[in-house]
Amino acid sequence: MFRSFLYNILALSLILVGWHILYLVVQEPLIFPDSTSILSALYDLIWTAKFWFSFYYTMRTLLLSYIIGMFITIVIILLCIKYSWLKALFERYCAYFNPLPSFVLVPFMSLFMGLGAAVVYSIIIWNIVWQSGLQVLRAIETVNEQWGKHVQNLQWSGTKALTKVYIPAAISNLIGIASTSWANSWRILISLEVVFGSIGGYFGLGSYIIDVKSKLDIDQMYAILFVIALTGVIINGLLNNLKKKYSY
Amino acid sequence: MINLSNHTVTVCDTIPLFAPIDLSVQTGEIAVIMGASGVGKTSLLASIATRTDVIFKNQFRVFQESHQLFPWMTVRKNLELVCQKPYIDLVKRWNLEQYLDHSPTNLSGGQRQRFTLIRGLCSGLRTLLCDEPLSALDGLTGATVAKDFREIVHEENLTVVWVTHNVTEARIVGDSIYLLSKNGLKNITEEDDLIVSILSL
Repeated sequence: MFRSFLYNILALSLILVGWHILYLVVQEPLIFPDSTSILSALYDLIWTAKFWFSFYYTMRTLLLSYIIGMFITIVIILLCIKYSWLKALFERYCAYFNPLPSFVLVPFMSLFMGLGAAVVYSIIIWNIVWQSGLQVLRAIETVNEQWGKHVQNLQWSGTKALTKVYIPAAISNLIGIASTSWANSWRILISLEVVFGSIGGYFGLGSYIIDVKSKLDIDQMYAILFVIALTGVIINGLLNNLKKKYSY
Repeated sequence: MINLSNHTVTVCDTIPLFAPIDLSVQTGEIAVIMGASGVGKTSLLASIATRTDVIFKNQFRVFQESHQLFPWMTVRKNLELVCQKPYIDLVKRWNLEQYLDHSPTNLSGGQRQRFTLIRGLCSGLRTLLCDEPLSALDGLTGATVAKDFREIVHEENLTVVWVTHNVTEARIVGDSIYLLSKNGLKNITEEDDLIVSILSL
């Protein structure tokens, strides 16, 4: 834990040193502002209501689409466990759609939905279902291979088998999948916000970057980038710690 | 009791692992099955476990070579979840009391195997199918556990099929000893020399 903390300090110090060297070499504050002015912009930013609204919109969109995406995935997986023909179809659809970059779908989906928030939700949900669906299915199958005979041997079934064996055995893998899925969704959402700008009154962190850039407030632009990276790192760190806690 | 008549186990649905066998294990009896690696001992045990008459008319338990304690709960929780009878005397008898609140992942293979054996003996199940249950134990501890196991099985009148590679263990635990080969199952009677029979395979 302490070693990991030291490595983080080292990595951040290297970035700061590199940044300062670039600042001294380029001597162009509109491209590489001084790191102290970025920190000062970050301090100003956290006292701005607009920033917190953007942060809230981004997190709300991500959470909502993530929950809907995971719910759809779980329903599909449960049906796949029950019906083998559906599992065969789902595996094939995952093979077709998972390699497809989510951004490719933007022109296609905007034909039906316009350039509103619905497109953002749909693309994130699409990505979660095809990316994590197959992984969740494999995780459950692995647990079944490892513990299924044992459960049969103990003559357990239903809720007891599920709560005492299958869920505890699968939880570490499921958190790992959730973590990967979250990180991907976070990247996709911020990219979509940057590309779309303000979407139907919805103004997230990505849109904020474009807004401050157009006002040539470069210090703030970097400060927002820092917030985006930090949020991703914190959430990923929390999920990874949770995964470690439940790894056996 | 377990009764097998003209029984065989096939691989790929068609190729028999060994010639058809007859096996009868009475209630209160421990039948030990020995044989070369790959001859089909574990497959035979699994085929007994999946026989519907064994599953539904008796109860069964298979101890595989891998340890079957759940790693996400302590040993005590593992025992409490399955045991229908008090287990603490057996835990004390096998010097495992101090490990009850440990996670199975922090125990040695031998300790896990002994706890697994305790769980089986205290589960209230009447038929036990044991697949090398003492393979991770040293000779002396293994012999003690095997002796205790034999006593408990006879006291409780359980039915046991026990697979092992260890001749000493087989002699200590077994009421009857069988050698499995591709030619079938050979009962080693007291007059026969177990070592000579094994070498002749």
